Amino acid sequence: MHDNQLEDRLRTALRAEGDGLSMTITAAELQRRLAGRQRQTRGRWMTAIAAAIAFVALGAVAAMSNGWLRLPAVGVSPSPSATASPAPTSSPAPSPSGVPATPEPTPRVAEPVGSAGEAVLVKPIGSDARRPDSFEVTRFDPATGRSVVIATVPGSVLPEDGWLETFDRPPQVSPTGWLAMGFTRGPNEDETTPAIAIIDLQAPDIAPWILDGYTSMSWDLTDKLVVEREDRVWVAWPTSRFLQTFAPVGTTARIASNGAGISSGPAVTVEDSTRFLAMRTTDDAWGYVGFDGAFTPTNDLPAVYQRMGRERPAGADAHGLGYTCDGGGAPAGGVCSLVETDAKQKPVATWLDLDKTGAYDFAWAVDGKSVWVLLEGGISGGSQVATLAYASDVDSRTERARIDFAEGMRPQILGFADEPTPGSATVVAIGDDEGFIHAFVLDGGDVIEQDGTAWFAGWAVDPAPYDPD
Amino acid sequence: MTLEALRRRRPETLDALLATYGRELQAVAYLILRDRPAAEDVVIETLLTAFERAGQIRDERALRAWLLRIATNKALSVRRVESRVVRLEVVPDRAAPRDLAGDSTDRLALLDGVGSLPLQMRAAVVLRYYADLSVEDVAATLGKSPNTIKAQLQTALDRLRIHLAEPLTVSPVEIRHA
Repeated sequence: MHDNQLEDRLRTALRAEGDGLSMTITAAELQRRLAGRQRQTRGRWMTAIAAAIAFVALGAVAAMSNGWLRLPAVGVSPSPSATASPAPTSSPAPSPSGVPATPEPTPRVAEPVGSAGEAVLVKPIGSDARRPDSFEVTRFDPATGRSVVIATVPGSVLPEDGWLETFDRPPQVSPTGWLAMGFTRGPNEDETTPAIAIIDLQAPDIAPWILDGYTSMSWDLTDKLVVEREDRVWVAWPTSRFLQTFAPVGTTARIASNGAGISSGPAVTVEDSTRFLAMRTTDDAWGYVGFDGAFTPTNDLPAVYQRMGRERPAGADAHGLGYTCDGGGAPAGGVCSLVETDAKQKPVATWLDLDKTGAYDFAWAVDGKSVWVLLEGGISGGSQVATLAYASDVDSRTERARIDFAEGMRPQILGFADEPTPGSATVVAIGDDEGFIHAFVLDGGDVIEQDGTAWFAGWAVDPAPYDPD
Repeated sequence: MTLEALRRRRPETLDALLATYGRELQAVAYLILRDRPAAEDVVIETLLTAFERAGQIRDERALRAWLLRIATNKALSVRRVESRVVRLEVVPDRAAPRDLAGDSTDRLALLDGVGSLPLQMRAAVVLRYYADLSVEDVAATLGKSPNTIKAQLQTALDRLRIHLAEPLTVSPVEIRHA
């Protein structure tokens, strides 16, 4: 909804703030810093030359001793169910001369990475948050406190020109242990592109598959990664390093995000990545698109595959849930609420009066009719409190657990391990808006605190598909 | 200052860049980072980068957009996850003394709301509503599609509406997450 008044007020406020700043940078300071950069540049150039010489020498030794990288299989045909024309857009680097060119398929164990209720955590190790020395991947059982290291991934999975930004999505693990990690790369910080590294946790020392220019990832149930690039959806097969694009959907529909919050990607149905939830652009009607790009409207949405347990873009009968504020007569913009809408976007219920109780986050429960909320609990003793609550209907809400965060953080519901019955989640992952895990809440309300230094990358075993109908 | 002079790296062009674009770049960086020293650092690094890489610019009309892009990317790259210590920071001095108590409550609430947005969303808001870039230019600056930026801006406005409905609790001492 367009709001000229709010936009005008925002412009006025930002201009008053920005234009009111005094200018303290001087030309002398600029010149001083320029001189310093020029000295550094000369030093780095000499280091780069030395490194290049060393690399050439090491490469020659490795080639002679047959210890080169194992290259994955290429050119394997995609699943027969896919109907779009194959358009391979990625291939591994060519082998250096003298090394056998036939790549060896990577044998993999096609089993889940752990047991039901276990979470997969990825912890960056090292002093440089942008380029960690390594990543420690563990599976953690909140019920027992047991933690097992699955793999230690070297920091070199990020190419030399790559680094992690705060806005790069947290990594996501596939059902059998592929790890997708978003990062940023470029010759310098002014010319950057997003990218995704796909790492085999069963063989973490093998060079990852890098997808340049791709964002917005979500795994499907058969270890394929669904990604976006230039407003198109692509399906990536890690074992064969094959990429396939959707037929263009044109302006008819836009593919829905899977509602997994900060880990969101295209909402994949359980039918092996051949369909995605979508909304028609003309009237926001819900439906799905197939691989041929055709849009089928329906309020009986197909089941959505879950890895994080937050892939719940719509409730029963394609109902929606979101914040809204009415115009009201108050100077500040009226009353704001958490509102449920029907398939035609008309409000049908108010779940939360945000004037009375603020909410950090919310999610549909498994039935698509009741709601989980992460309520603002105020600030106490240097901590801010988030309260996980379950609302079976608009008039009934039960608090399940309180979680403490450092002030200034933005708590989020990161995922549900499983929810056999509405409101009874076996484990709920609670973290922040960068995907770091801060606590697990067990069904009985016990809070298992975490230190917020590891990303929640998904569950070891898939949550059940989300099918509120 | 001409683009040609910039390309030739004439020393005076650095001063000219500062005089012509410094204020706007500082404002953009500050509005994104809400941190005066960090914003100044971003501006300096932006101007130096521009001075060193001016050869990439072919059209003087693109210079402002290019500078904003550099500054925004540098601001976004300032990492704040290493330290999770909360510190209290006094709102920086402004050009003219101002009675904060007399400032519009609405303005302070809006700025507080903008400061609570996720970093990249905040950057989109600043580029759109302070620097007055079109949605397409904001998208080009942030390396996103225009549809993504439209969605981000709409989400930002939705969040600001909610934020405005809350009573302003931030006083001149600004609670920050480092």
